[in-house]
Formats: sequence, C-alpha cells, structure tokens
Amino acid sequence: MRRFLLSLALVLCATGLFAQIENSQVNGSFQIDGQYYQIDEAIGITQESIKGNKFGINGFGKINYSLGNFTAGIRYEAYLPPMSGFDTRLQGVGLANYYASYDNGTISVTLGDIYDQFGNGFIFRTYEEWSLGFDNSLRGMRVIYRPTAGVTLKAVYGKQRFYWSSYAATESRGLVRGIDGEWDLNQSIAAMNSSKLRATVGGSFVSKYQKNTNSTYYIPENVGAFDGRVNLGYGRFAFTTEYAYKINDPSAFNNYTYHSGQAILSSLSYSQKGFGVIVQAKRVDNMSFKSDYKGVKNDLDINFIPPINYTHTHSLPAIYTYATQPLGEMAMQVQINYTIPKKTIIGGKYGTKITLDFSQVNDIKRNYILEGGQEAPTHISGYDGTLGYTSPFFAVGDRKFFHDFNIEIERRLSKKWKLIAQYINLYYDMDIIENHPGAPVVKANIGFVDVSYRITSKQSIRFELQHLWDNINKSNTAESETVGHEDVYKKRGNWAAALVEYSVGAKWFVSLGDKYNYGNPIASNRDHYYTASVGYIHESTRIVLTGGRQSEGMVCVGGVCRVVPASSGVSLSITTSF
Amino acid sequence: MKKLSFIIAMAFLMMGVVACDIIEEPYKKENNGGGSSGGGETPDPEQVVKHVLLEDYTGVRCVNCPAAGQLALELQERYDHKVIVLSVHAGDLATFPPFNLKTPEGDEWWNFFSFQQNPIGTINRKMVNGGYAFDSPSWEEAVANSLQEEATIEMTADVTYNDVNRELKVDVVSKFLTEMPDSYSLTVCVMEDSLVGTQMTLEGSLDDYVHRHVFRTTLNGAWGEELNTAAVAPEEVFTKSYTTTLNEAYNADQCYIIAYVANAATKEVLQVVEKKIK
Repeated sequence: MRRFLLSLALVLCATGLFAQIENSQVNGSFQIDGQYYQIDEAIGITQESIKGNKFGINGFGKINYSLGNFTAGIRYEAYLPPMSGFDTRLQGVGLANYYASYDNGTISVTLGDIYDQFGNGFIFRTYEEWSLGFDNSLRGMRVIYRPTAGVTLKAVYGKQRFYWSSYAATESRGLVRGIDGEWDLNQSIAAMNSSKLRATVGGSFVSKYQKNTNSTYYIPENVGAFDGRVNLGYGRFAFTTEYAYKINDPSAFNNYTYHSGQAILSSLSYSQKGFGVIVQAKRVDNMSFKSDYKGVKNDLDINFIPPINYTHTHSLPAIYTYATQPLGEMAMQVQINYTIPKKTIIGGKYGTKITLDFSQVNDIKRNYILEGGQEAPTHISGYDGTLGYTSPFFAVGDRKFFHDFNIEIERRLSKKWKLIAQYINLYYDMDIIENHPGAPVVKANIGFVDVSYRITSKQSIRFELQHLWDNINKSNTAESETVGHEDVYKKRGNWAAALVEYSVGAKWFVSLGDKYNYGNPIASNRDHYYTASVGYIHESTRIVLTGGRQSEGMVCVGGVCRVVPASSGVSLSITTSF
Repeated sequence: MKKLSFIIAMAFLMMGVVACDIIEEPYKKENNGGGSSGGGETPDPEQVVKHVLLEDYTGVRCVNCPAAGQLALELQERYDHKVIVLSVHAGDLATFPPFNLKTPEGDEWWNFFSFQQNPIGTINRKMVNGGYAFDSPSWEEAVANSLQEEATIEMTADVTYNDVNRELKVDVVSKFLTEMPDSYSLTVCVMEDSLVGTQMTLEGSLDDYVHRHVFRTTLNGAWGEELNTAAVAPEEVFTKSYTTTLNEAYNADQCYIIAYVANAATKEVLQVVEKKIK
C-alpha cells in the first residue's frame, strides 16, 4: 500500500511538473559581430594602430524564461577583444546580467539587473545599447505597486554596471535609489474613462550615495534629483512637459562646480491623416548625473537627456551627428509632415510625402561668477570649487552648437519606381560636439537621392547618390594650415558617395558602395572607402558579411555617441532570435 | 490599501529629506596639500613615506596634453615632490617627424595598458574598474588617496656619473618593511627634464616648448628585473646595480634616475624613488 501511495505521489508530482513545463515559455536572442582587421596604411591603419589585434569580436546571448507570473533571464557577453572603437574595458567574457521577477498585476518584484526609466529619463534611465557598447543597468531590486487602475508606484535600488567591475561594497562607485509615481487620470476616474481629454501626471525622486574620498573638495555624499511631468492630449493635439532639478553635484565631468542642475523638455504636436506637426523645446543646465563623481564621458550615467534632432540614416549626413551636451544646451525642433494626396496634379498617382524639419541647439547663457582678476574660463562649467555661473532660465547663449534644416520628399513614381530625395543644411560645432578644442565649425550642405526599382515581384534594386559640400575644402584651405591639427581634418572637405543594392525577395541582398573624401584639405586623406556586403535573412536569423573600408565617424543612439575609428578588413554579423 | 499608499507617500518624503546633502561655501578643503602626512598631523620623521608614480602618457601633437602635464607638475609641487612624474611619449599623437620622443618601452606600456588616446595617465599603475587608465581630471584625487597609503618598501638610489666617458652607475636598495607574498620587480628608468622641442598646443605649434619629465629609456627592460622567487620576509633587502653609458642625445645635466618596485603580476607600483644623475 505504501509503495502504491509513493508511486501515486510521484506520478502526480511528475504530471504537475510537466503541466508547468508545458505552460512555460523560453525566448531569447544571440548576436555575434566580428571583424578581421587589415593593415591599410593609405587610411592610417598600421600595425601599431591596431595594436597587433587582427580580430575583434563582440557577442552576446540572452535567454528569458517565463512561467505564469514568474520571469527570469540571463545575458552572457563576450568581447575577445572588443571591436575597434568600443571601450577596451569591455574586454572579457562572463554573465553580464541576470534577473528574476514576479508580477501578479498588483505587485511586481524584480531582483537582479534592472532596466527601467522614469518619464523621459531626465533623472533615471538604465538601458543597454549594443551598438554603443553601453550598459548602465542597476543591479539590485525593483518593486512596482499598482494600488488601483491607472496608478503605478515604483521603487528601485542598486549599483550600476561598470564594464566588468565587481559589485562588491569595496567598489567606490555609488548606490542609486529612486522612487516614481505615475497617475493616468483616464483610467482612475470613471468620468474621464471616455473623455476626449487624456491626462497623465507623474513625479520622481532619485538619489545617489557615494562616499567622499576626495582630499580637495567637500563632495556631497547624497545627491538628490527631483522630476515632475504632465502629458495631456485633446483630440488631435498632444502636449507633454517634464521638468527636473538636481542639487549640487560637483564631479570630474562638470569640473567640480557646485551649481545646481535643471532640465525641461516640452512638446506640442498635432496630427491628422496626411498632416502632422511637432514643436519641441528643451533646456538643459548641468544635468550630468553619474553614480561616480569621478566618471567622465558616458561612464555610469544615471540619467538620459533625450535629443530633439532629426535622425539621419544615410551615410554622409550621419558623419556629423549631434551628441547631447548634458552640461548645457538650449534646443528647439519643428517638424512638419505632409502628404500631398494621391491622384492630384502635384501629388501624382500615388501621393507624395514631404517632411520639413528644423532643429537648433545653442549653449545656455552663462554669467560666470568670477573673483577679482579672473577671466571667464575656457571650460564651459566654470572654475572648479565654485558655483560656476548663473544662468537666466529663458536666455539663449551666443554660441551655436548645431543646426539641421532638412527637407525630404518621398514619392512613388510608378508601380516599379520609388524616389526619396533630401536636402540638408548643417551647422556642427566640432570643438564642442567631438571635444576637439580649436576645431573649425562645419557648415555643410548635403543632398541625396535614393531610388528603388522593382524588377520582378521578388527582385529589386536600389541606388543611392549622395554629396556633401563642406565649407572647408582643398580649394580654400592649404594643407600647411592643417599642420598640428590633423585630427580635426580627418573627415573634412567634400564627400561623394554612391551605393547600389540588389535584393532577392526578403532573403538575400548584395550591395556595393563607395564614399570618397575627395575634397579633404590633406592630400593623404583623400581616400575612397569602398564596401561590399552580402546578406542572408531566414526567418529571425540575419547574416551579413561586409568587406572594405570604414571611415572615421560617430555612432550615436539617442544623442549618446561613440567614436568609430577608421578601419579596413572583413566583418561578419550574425543575429538570431527564438 | 490607503495605509500602504500613505506609507509610500511618506517614503517619498523621507527620501527627499535625507538623501540630499547641500554643501555651503567653502567648497574646497583648506588643508589639501599635506600629502601622506596630511590632515594636520605632525609627520613622524622615522616613518617611511610612500611616494607615488604618476605616468603622464603624452604626445607632441596632442593639444590637450600640455594642460595635463601642467597638472602633473602642480601635483608634484603641491605634495613636496612625493609625486614622481614620468611623461611617457606614446600613441598616435606622439610623433611629429623629425621630432620624436617615443620609446620602445613606452610603446610596450601603451599597448599593454590598452590606451587609445592622450592625455591619459596611471597612478602607481593601479588597476581601477578593470583598467589602468586615469583621465587627468581624476589624477588629483587618485594621487591624494595613494599618498595616504602606508609604505611597504623603503627605497634608496645611489648614482655615480662620469662626465668624461658618460658612464652611469646606479645602485638601488629596496628594503621590504613587511612580509609580502607575491613576486616583485625593480625597474630603473632614465628621465630627462626640461627638454626643449616642438609641441602642438591649443594656440598653435610651439618650437620652444619645455617638455618636462620625459621618459628616455630603462636600464633593465620595460618590465624590469625580478627581485624574488619566494615570499619576501620583513626587513629583507635587495640591492641591484646597473652600469650603462648614457646616450649622447641626453643632456646629463637634466637627467634623473627613477626606480620603482612593482608587483610583477598586477604591475602595481609599491614604491618609487628619484635621483638626479649629477
């Protein structure tokens, strides 16, 4: 009898286990990017510059498992060594992230590595961006509580990832703790359930704690930042605004000034079928917020300042991409989208889409607090160990960092032909954006046409022709003028680019392209950057093999950028998900 | 439910109150130049002082490097020469033909530390967050912290130089003060100070720039000579002697010996000494 009961219990347990396994889900993705580097002295790739590393490989695999209210996941990364242009501190392999989470709809608890953001991210955003080699995830704990419909309360606590550094208490980087509340009035208030007015309000508080080990300054060990936001919508109109304030936060990044930080972003938009307009304005003053006051560049950012600029995807306009300036910027953007209706004289048989976009970024106005005899500092933060400067909230600084005016036309010419054309006028302060002191400003005009032709129902061909006219060129800048500043002339001068891409269905593509910096003031920099690619796509797997040269440039995602050095060789990228 | 919401609201409020430190003037500490004997305490004359090696990886075409070099000099002066500065010319920006201060050892260190751009430095070649790199804004704090560490080795260097045949003889004595389990190496470098030559600056190219603390060569290889194979006992002394002929290109009047003992595996410098040749 006992044996029977034991057997029965085992069968019941096994049945329950299998039933649970049947209800569970596993998904994930893998990516491997590898490059073989070739010596190519014509574009400055020498044995010395590649430091003897002929290969660079970045790879990751992540697997998520869910069963009912429970979810868990891991992410494994390998950089052996990191590809050129990625931070060398990434070198290594290991389990970069892991988490376990329980969520029953009312309460959610996550332990492990947390990715989240409060509002636009002005005071808190943790995220991972593979193309930048950026990951500022928070290892710790998150609790989300939804007491009633439309109300969400969040609390996070932990220490940020810093490459492969340990999370031990002895590590000097600080702790981050934050709390956020958001109230969706339409969900909470019955009378507003079907109202034309949509309203959400939210507020956050984030604080970092880091022990002061600095022998020179009284560094605040607890630095707090506050944030409030409102999203309103009425019919076709939408208005959002968010304001953040940060108390004194002297750091290596802001040259140890004790000036408080502020940021505001407001956006008004209107959209209807065939027409949309958005107007945005942003002010940022000393809003770099890091969990290590010694951090520089993008190290250990707790927050994120969203850019309000047009994102260019073609290669020549992307040479000069704007990088957000957390120390101060006044920015605005206007974008108008209009579709000229089809079957009209101007719109043509299929209609024509027109996009007009203008954005500009200036410095904020700074009135430096100077002691007797001091002159305004060259560093935009001010003198270390002081309040730095005062800044009238609505005043715009004289120095322009960037502007981008562009107009794009997209039109289907016939069943087989489609045309995209764009003109861009660009102003780019390389000194500030790329931190090249003394670099002359880029004032460029760029134009391109992108034409697609459908050969058959499965085959198509696409051509791109691009040109960039730079204000600095071999015709107006003698090579002798560049001596000592070769770094800032690496990509200056006129460029021409062409690309042809042939696709078979959605499975295969082959492309050939060339970018030619023919107007560079330095003769040895007038190089061709030719590439050939072949790609294969099958379901969720994508394999791309590329050979040729890559010019120096910036890769930017959301205003966060990394410099990509010139390289030559063969690269392979494999991505798959399941 | 109301109770829970109240608790959360109070938590918000409490965090806001306790998690902000507003600093009032003065922002700078007054007594920040005391080095290892800082904090107002009277230094013990018997106590061995720990010196700090600040390596400034620089380049003649690097327009931001003069500011970093100036900071290194200020730190050396602030801490009464307890900071020993070695300017290593390495990286893509370190040559401006025909003017070249690069060295094979400098290139080897640059590659080993995986540096990518100047100016960059090391502080006692300590690893922080998986790398050796210290950006110049972080030197001040890292130097101050390193100076507060206790010395574990006492070093002296005796130098004799013959002006006629340029023979240079260096004797370095390293006395370990405590028992130490790892393997350690001694590296002896020649540094030439105040060497005049080309430098690109933010204001343009200068031909009469004074290069300070220029690393020239080592007497015993890029990574030096191993001192021990077994654990080192307290009070154990290692004496090493090197003889060489000083390169004709170096101005002997401006040359110094910089010798340091480092952990052979981690490369961390534990003590460093500087001695003028003449």
